[in-house]
Amino acid sequence: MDIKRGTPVCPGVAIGPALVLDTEGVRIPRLSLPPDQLDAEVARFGAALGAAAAESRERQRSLAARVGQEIGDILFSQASLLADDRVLRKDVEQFIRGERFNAEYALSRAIRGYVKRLEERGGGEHAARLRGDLYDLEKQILGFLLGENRQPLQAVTQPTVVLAHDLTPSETAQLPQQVHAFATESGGPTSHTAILAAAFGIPAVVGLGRFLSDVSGGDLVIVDGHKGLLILNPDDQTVAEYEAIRAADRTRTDPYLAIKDAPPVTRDGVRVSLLGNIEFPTEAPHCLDRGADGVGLYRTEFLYLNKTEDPTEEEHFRAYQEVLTALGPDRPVVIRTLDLGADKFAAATGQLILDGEKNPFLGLRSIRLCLQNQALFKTQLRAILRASAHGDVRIMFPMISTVMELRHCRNILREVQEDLEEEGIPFKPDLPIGTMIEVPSAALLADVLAKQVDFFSIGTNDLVQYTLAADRNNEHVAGLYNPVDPAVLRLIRGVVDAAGREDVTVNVCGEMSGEPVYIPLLVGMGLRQLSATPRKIPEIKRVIRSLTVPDAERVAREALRMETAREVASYLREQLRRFLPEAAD
Amino acid sequence: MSTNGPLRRTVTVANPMGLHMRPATAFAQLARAYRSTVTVWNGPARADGKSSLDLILLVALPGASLVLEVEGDDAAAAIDPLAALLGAPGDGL
Repeated sequence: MDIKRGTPVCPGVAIGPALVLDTEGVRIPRLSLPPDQLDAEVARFGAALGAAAAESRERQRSLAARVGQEIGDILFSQASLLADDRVLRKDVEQFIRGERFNAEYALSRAIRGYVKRLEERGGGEHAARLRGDLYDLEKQILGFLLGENRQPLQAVTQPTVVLAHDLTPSETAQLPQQVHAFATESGGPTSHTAILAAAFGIPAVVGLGRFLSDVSGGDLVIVDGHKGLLILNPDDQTVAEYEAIRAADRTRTDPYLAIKDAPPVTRDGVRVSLLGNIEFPTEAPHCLDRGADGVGLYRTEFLYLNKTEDPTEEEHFRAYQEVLTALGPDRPVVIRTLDLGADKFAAATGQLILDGEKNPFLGLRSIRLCLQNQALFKTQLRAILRASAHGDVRIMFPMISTVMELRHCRNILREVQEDLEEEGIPFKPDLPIGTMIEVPSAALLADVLAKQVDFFSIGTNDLVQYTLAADRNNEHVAGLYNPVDPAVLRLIRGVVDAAGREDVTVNVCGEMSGEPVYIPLLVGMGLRQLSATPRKIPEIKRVIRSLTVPDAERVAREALRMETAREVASYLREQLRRFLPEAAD
Repeated sequence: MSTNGPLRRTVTVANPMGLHMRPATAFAQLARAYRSTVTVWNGPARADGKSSLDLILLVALPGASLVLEVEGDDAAAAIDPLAALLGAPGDGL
């Protein structure tokens, strides 16, 4: 039994067989063979090694033919030449004969053993490169072993615990149907893994550091999303303890199911509409399950990540259509246009940035990138407009920092509308248009922007970072990041007031809207719409149902008088305890 | 019989990228051409000189002091070329 510690990012407990993801989603089956099959298995492995070595030599030959022997030698990765290696052959054969493992699993164990030895010897960058080479070698030989038996991950139906270095889009594109939990070597509380886990509503632990070389597919593992632990090969007593915790968790979440159909209305009858934040179309039904009134933020970045080409208009449209079908024609779906930096893009668009940007968060990203690459932008706009004919679609522009940018966006949108009209393609002409308020300049000019949009959405995650000039992922300054810093609260209040004067709807779609402790403050500042991760909606609803608007306004007034984030945070915790004794920490 | 015991040389890793895939594979290939056993040590870590994998796992960084040991009937013929290859500065890539 081996206990690893990391950062918990989604609560809950999962007990199950591990599925180790490599970047190609190759699943390594683990079998126990009868003694009379071992010779054949060793022979099968030998054949795969020979085939891998031959393939490499052939590749090297053809590369040398194209670029000359010298350069061919330099460019060619020799990892595959190891396929012939006698130590590898001997070690794998030992696993097959000694432990009666199948060749795939034996290979995996051998490679992981080598990686572990590398890690023990240190060696920094040098060792890192070698580690990559070893995994490449494993992948190549596995390809020959699995042959046509290669199973795409989606075919895995048994509930599994997914283990990976990181859950990048290429890995998550391959997830099996039934994932019970995630555990990754890298990542922090705002990482992709955390967002995914929240979307799926499953336990997750990140930032565990190296552990993949200690585990193989099929091993029993426990993910403790409360304490942030990953337990490899737990003993029976530990399994029993965790089964008890898991059972207890299940009964605790039941009260939220009861609240699902109750309206999000304060004790004095004021409605605070609750919407869901989603990233994948498959999360849309989850929003409804949790009692959301619609989708307040559909992050469309996933359509772009880790592809070799930018998504087509059809791909965009199909995704939007899926969400609209799930939600029906009457529930709002706010689609946010691309909000990524150029570094995350397909090669085609990535060419815009030739040297690495020194300050990507202040650089060519998000709407700025779209305005400088109109073809890309218009593809998405066309798809959004087409989708608007099928439901209550609303469009939102991220990271607007000046009035000119917003005007520019609206002009381009108008051009696209004209194009569609000419082509006879239907769309809703009075599609509501909104902007994210996340850059301080936009917050300060909210009164001007309010005249040019139908709604605002306050993106508190980035607004807090930009206002306090602190990167929440930088552990040296993360302490400065606090959504209830008085400066941020003043900006939010200003935005809500400006919106009110122009009859513009405002909501908060950042993490703040998913935390019970901030709800009285937000409602008290005048917000009547919140968009949160679906899993949190029932809790937020409970807080809303425990408030009266005068209560909430009192809380907001007091909080806005305070001078430090710490005072505000402490005050809000105390106030939440008054409204909902069992919800406060 | 030309030797009574193993021949040894101390070789310093001169390749600026250390004993990585390319030099390790080249060395193992040459070592396999001889009948003698070939062993390389990096401190206490030991590698079979005819296995590129074993050699790579030594993680021999630039400047590391390796001990090359060759034992067998063609050891005298093998030791110089093997030592030269092990300590070669490489082609800078």
